[in-house]
Amino acid sequence: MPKLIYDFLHNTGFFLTDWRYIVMAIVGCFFVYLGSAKKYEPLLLIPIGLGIIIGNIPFFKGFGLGIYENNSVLHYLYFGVKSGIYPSIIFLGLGAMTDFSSMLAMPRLMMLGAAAQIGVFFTLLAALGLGFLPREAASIAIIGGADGPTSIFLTAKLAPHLVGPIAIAGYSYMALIPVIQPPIMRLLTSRKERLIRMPEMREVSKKEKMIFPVIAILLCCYTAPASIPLLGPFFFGNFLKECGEADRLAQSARTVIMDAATIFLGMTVGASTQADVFLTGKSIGIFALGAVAFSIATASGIIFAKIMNLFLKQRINPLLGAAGVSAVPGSAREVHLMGQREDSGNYLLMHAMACNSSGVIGSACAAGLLWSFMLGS
Amino acid sequence: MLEFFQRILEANGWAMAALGITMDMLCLAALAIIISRVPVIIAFIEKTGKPSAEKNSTDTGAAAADVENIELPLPGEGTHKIATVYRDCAKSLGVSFPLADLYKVCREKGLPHPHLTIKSLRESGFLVPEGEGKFKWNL
Repeated sequence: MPKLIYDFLHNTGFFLTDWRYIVMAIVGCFFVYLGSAKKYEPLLLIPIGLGIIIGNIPFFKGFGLGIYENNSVLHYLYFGVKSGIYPSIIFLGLGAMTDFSSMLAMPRLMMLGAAAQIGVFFTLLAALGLGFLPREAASIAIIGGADGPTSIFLTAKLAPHLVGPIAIAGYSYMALIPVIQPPIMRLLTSRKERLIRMPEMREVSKKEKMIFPVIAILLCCYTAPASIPLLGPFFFGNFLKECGEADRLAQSARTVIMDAATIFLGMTVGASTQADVFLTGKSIGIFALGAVAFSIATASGIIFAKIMNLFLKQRINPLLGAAGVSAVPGSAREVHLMGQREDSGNYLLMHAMACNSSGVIGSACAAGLLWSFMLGS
Repeated sequence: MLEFFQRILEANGWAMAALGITMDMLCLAALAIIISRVPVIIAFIEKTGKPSAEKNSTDTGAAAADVENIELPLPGEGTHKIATVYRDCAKSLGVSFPLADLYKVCREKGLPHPHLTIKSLRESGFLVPEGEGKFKWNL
């Protein structure tokens, strides 16, 4: 009997824990706090935060409990991340949610979504220079796209051992948009530029909205076939929404199907941050490079808008460039609020959403291109 | 520092970054150009298609009938008169309404250039924001 008690106590989390598990549990609690009390991206941060807490409870190895142990429940759920299933399903739901009207009404704003991807490729160079392997560098660079599912998808394909740190870095920066983007916007634009009003948008016909996903899927996927797993479901979901004849499917895609994938993705990505795997020097490097990627992406969008203004008759408010990252709708909201702080009658939200939507397409294309570049490495 | 650039060179980083940025921008630029032509193509197809043309003529007829019933202001009568006509046409919208609804109603009634007119009404202060994307008349 005493031996049984002794063995039992030795197998409890209290006995097996060390400072790393406690640090990660605190990080998990902080994510839950940010999501629930501060309402920063609650649909993502709450599942990830609770996942971090679950994944960092110490246990005796070899019993099929941890996410990295074969036959554990978490391991099976994590398969959806490693294989890229959850990100694809989330893209299906995103497509069924997205209204491209504003982008179709003003197609030139799409260029700002493309310009923001410059941040991705600059970070690729920085990560390679710092000594990361090409596949790891590509996975880190995609954080600049500010698209969680895209980052997870590419990392799962190229550097699965980095899924945890990259997902946490990506989602952290998305949640910190109100902190990161405004200083960059203020630094790179003058008051006069922030006051530029955008013209009202024309009405977009249903036919245009239906034709767009078909053209986009053909053009983007022919250019970067490796983006098919993301852009294929994305435009498919959008067509379901726009055609109006399959509204039941579109409704399911944007609600229950997407919600289920988000829950499992968030929880398992959180649980993958097991302290012994996560708390390494590499993770710190990833966090630092992620911040660089995100900042350069924001800045390059703004600078590109200013360059466009040199050639356009109807000037673009350069703040819109900051919405070229694909953090929907956080960055669009931030651009709108910044515009309103200068002039309460300046409504930039719909224009910013156009940049945001093109940012989603741009970052998925960038992921496809990076994946295809790495096929030989 | 030299080592930093050396590592990029060894991994073929410059070429990947240059090609990546170029391809991404070209892809979205091509998409932007194509979708900007889609309305023109649709309009052309609808114009040449017989059934569509018939439908269009019916629509235009209905719109013209509506315009006849509305007393449009004469040139030079001022924005105030235009605002009064627009307000009367959009009575069904209530006190506050989104601009998209006003635009829809004005289009249904066949008022000419509703988009530009609503814009000028906003700029001249006859339509004032009430918050949460809604507007009201200031006459």
